[in-house]
Amino acid sequence: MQSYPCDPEVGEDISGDERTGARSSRGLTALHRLHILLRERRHREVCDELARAELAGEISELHALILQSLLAMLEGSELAGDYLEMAEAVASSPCELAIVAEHKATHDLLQGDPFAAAERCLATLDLIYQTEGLWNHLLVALDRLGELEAIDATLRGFARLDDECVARLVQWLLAEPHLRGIRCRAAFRELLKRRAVG
Amino acid sequence: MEHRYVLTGDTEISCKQQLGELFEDPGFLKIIELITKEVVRFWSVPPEAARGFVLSAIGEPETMACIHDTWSRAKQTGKLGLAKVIIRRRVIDLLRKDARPTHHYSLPGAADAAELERMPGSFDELLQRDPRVQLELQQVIRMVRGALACFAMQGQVQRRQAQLLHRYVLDDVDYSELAVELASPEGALRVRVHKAMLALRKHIRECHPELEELLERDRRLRRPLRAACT
Repeated sequence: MQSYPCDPEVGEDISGDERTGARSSRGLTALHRLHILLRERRHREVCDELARAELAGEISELHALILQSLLAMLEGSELAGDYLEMAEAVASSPCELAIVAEHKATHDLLQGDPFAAAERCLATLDLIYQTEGLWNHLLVALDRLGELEAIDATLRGFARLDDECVARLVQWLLAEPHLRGIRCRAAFRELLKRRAVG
Repeated sequence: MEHRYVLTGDTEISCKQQLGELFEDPGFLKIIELITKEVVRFWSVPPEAARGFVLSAIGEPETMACIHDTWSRAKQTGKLGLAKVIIRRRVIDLLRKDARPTHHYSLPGAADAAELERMPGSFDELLQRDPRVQLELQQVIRMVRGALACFAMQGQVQRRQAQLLHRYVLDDVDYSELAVELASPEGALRVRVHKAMLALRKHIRECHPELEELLERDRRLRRPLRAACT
């Protein structure tokens, strides 16, 4: 299977989900199980387990909708946008909205619209700053747009983030296969140094 | 799977009109398609059946009016997310109602029951692993004992018949033992037990209809009267 930048399978972050609706250990277990199945590309089982978990109330509606959107993206279905629209309507906190925005940005990138992805990331980052997923998507979008100066400015702007967030972000950027160009930049090497010192 | 798309009279016209209007909107058709796909996946049913199920979930006049109203208003603002969520929730709610409850164990079907007959101890295992069956059986036991006591109070003949049934069914004494105990030939005893059973059934039918209904419902359970003593 083709690997996309910000591939929903490769780049999906459990911690993002843990920030929101996984309020019970049961919910967390169901969510982890789903993410494991998703990573192992067992899509048929993801469908079954997702439907079962949602009906049993083991995962929140927000997570169900986001996971449905991921499945739709993996299938290349145009229904992904509808799921994300519903997820946005269900999201109630800035944190939940940030998670939906991350997935919407992924969708924009998959649709070949890095400009929309960058705009969406910037609009959400105005509300909630320490969201490494959004920064990651923003950098991917800027890279696609060829905005090197904006990339440098963004990397330098990470100085405002705390060490923990920077560490997670650097880890993510190192693992992102489509950001080799960014990893060569001086501003990124500065970030690496900061992480090493921290 | 239950279908609730039942409309009558003026409501039918109004509801159909609303549905017709909504069906003219490609956005609405798309969300119906989206939810239908989920139902197809979950129930493994043909798309047509799944679509019928989706329409059942939103087809009640009150629900349809609410969806029509919400969708129309959302169209004006261009924010259809919540309206889509409402439609999907209706379907999920209906799916949830039809879903097998957590920790549910089905009672055996006819074939399974025959299998159980051949497997000593498996009936007890069934009882042990399903608290609901245990609870229902206890209820039946209490009611049967009550009905037998009531039957015994109907007269001298009924009292003797109740004693016979008590020994045979509840105390689980077999015909050979009873024949010795009552100094009666085994064949005659079988006839007496049979007649007593018929009389008790008639009494239950006339005086304890709720028990009859319960026994009828649980007829698949093996020998509830016999089990009453264990």
